[in-house]
Amino acid sequence: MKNRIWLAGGIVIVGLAVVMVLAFQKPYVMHGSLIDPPMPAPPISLADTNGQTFDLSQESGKIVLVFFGYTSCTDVCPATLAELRQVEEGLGKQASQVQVVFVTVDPQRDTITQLKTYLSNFSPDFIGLSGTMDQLQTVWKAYGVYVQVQPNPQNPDNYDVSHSSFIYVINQKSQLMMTFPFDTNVNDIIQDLKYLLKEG
Amino acid sequence: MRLWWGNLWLRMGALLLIGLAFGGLVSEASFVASPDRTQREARQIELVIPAGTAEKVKAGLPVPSIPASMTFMEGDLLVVRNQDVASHQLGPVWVPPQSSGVLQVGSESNYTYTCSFTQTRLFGLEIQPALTGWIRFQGVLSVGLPTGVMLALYTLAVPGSKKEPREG
Repeated sequence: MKNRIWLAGGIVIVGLAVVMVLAFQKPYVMHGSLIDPPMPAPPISLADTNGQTFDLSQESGKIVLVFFGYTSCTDVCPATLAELRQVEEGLGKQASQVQVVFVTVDPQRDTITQLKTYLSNFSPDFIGLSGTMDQLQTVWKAYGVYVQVQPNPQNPDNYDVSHSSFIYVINQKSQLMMTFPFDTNVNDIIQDLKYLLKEG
Repeated sequence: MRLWWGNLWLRMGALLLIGLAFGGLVSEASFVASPDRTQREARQIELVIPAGTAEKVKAGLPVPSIPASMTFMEGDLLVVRNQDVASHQLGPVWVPPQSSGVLQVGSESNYTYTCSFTQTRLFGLEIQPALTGWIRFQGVLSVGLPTGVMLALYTLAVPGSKKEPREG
């Protein structure tokens, strides 16, 4: 009889604990800015640093991180690419399911060779994209990228380009579903990507 | 009544509870009465970008503006609804046309971001720690614990209180 009371008490306590855990379990909250509802990712078809044409639709099944920048950039671009390199390292084996794509906002100076050399400083797996001004402007517009050349009268070849600094996240279903603003914590990005990879 | 009063540990526990109850009363009353309550619990904040905003910005016309800077609490859910035909950026949130951008505001900090539809093209974002249950509980503890301890010490120190168990 006594044993039964202990058993019943134990079951009640364990049951209560399970109910409490389930009740207080919070759903995972993404650190990036979600696009609600996710939209089909605008197409990207540009010349890449592997000497081929990169077609975004071919990347279906992978997470694609798209960043717009230029190789002469001295602040936001190297900082973001270094961060993306850390993300790649942090993902470990799962990094093969994530593709980083760098689209130039300065086609005048960013040749494919220049892009390849620049990106190799960060990761050999990053893909750089360039194209004609028309092709690029179509992509910039589709992703709402702000591009503004800041002329340098003293040295016309050494100009700056103001540009948007978001990392665009395209999920495995080719949907543009999230953006990370500049300077998002690396671990937060890794956590979000791991969650996306797990959820499929 | 006298039996438990005679037990030192029970007495200490009871006085501590009385102290905490008093702390709760004082802390919550001052919280409710405070006229300058900047801290609050996290909540959803919704902003709408109306249709035609991009056109108006392009034409240099005034647009329904938002403040140059906004203060959020940690954990606030910022929802930006874009009813325009062009994408917009409000600080850390980029919103495609006819869509919404949803961001749970992160930890305490101050930022200045680009904004596609404010006059200055800039948007300040201040994030303060949210008022959580734990913070309010800390307020109760900070008043209640010392009060309880003081009461306990008082009953030990006042001679009359030591005699009470012997009376029973």
